Amino acid sequence: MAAAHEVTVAGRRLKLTNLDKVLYPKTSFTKGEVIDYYARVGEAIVPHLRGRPLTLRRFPNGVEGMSFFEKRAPKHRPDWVKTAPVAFDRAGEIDFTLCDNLATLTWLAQLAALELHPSLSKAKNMENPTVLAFDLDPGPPADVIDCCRIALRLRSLFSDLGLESFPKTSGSKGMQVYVPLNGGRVGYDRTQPFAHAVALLLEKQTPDEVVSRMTKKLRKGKVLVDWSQNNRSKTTVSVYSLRARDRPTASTPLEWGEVQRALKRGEAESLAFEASAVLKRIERKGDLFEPVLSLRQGLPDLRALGD
Amino acid sequence: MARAIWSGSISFGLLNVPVKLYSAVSKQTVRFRELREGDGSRVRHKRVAEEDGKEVPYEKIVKGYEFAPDQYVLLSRDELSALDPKKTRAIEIQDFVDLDDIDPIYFEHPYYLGPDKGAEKAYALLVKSMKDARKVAIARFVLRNKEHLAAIRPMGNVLTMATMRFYDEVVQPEQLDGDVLELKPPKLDKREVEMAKQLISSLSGDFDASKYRDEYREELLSLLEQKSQGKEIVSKPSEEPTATKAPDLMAALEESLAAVRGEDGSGGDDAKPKRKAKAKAGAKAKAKAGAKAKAKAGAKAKAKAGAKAKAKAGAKPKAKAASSSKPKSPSANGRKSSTRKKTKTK
Repeated sequence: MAAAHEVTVAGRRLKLTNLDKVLYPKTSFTKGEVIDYYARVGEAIVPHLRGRPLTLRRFPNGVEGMSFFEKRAPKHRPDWVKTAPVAFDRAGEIDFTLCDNLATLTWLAQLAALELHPSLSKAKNMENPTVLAFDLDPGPPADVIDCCRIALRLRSLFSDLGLESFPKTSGSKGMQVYVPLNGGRVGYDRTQPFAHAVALLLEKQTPDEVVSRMTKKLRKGKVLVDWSQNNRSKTTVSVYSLRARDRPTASTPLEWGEVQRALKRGEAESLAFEASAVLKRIERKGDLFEPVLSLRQGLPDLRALGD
Repeated sequence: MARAIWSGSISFGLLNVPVKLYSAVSKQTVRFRELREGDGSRVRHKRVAEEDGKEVPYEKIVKGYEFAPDQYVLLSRDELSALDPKKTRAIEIQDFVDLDDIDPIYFEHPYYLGPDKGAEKAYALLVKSMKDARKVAIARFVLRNKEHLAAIRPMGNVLTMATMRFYDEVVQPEQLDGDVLELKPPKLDKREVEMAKQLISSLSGDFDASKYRDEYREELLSLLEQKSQGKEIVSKPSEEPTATKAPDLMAALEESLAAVRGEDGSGGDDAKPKRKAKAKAGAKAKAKAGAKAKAKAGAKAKAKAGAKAKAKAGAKPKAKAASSSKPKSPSANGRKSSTRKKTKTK
């Protein structure tokens, strides 16, 4: 077994272990490479995690082994890792990890927390999400290309309402569309019904393509427009987070033009980005999801929204 | 090919085995549709108010608990849904017990649990260890908004899970006393008992489930077959597609979109935004400006702090990874610094 490496990250001492351990057996992607990816993508991902309760999905024995979701910040943590107590469902108050800096991110990678799922809210203002999110989940034989079609319709719908929206791949099978809010004033009691209404409308317009209910049976050949993520007690995979798939793909922000091209050419593969490709994209395009953190928008004033 | 009806994971302690739930029952009941005699039109049920016979739309229905005749406590949908069990995907094992300790009266509906993709090994491990320990796991999980108790046990190489009734759902034998059974058991003649025992042993054998058939169903099916051969079939009348019952909000959304898009509210895929071109441009400009400012400020401040750290954190594992026989062309440090420069100058 390889010896532990002591490193200093942003002034913090960290022990990195088992760097040779293969976490993605199909592509021989090692834990060292995972840590390397997160260290490099840190500048882009940390702003999207900062201040948000974070759910970890850990794969101590790689993507083919057992995994567990961890909401409670791991007990054996360095004293400089920040946490925030958040009242969460029946479990009462939970101390969530806050990934506010590169050192914490590296430590999480060292724990084989391959997937990082932050809340749509910041811990300081749990009731008011900073974003409205739609998770597009294709039911086979529908695939990511079908998600593109629906994502573009969401974009057009929001554009008609005067709102900008931003697409990303889920890093798994589907896509997500985010509508930045950032005002700190819109509560889940408004975002969730609004998102639900949007999903219902898409379903009503094209019942053959869209489904708004979770039931797996209904999803076959359609895209689930999952509005239910707009919930105080849910977390959604972060942009730039790796996913536990065969290959080390990551949730990747897209340009709308790329979505249109992928749809036109029917190239599902063109939307699957592995760790190295994600880093190259950031180098070329910067953080396409930056406006999701900075753009202030409000929900449209619908007649029934006040109810 | 079995279709999973639910997926989640078995968890106890820190262990987590992703599984899929399959029904262990293939319903063989013969189902009938209700049709109008004469033309074969499908019959639909409507909810109508007793008061005036008018139809009551779904969203206007509230639930009332009749605590005294004609007196109701009303609960709104929201109040009810607040009580819904939290939707978790976990099958949480509470205890391991002996199968003999569970009376079959508690078993409700059987399912199979199969491994989810990638969890085959963890699953096999669980099956084997439970088999060796000869234990049944008692677990809790939420299915379709209802919290269930369940017993999980290995059967060959697969796990079965039977949902269970809660203790207070089962009528205990004591509650039958005096009502169904006499309070004092009657006295039995020893010879009569012996005779009954002999009779039992003469009929004893091994249980073979396939020996017992649903004879009523078999007769019904054969009758249906004969009739359909004779073309005594009522043809299916054409059906209108049923629209989704949409809440008010969707209607409001649809309305305001229709107003924006002009006459047609159905919305083309690539419909260029007609309204708010200005607002949109404004938003974009703001976003861009924000992005730039932030990237600059953020990158500079962080570049310093992060640089050292990252060079180290990044380089070491990389070197390690490289030695593990996966050649990667550009050096870790080279790529690193170019990434940083780009972000900074952006």
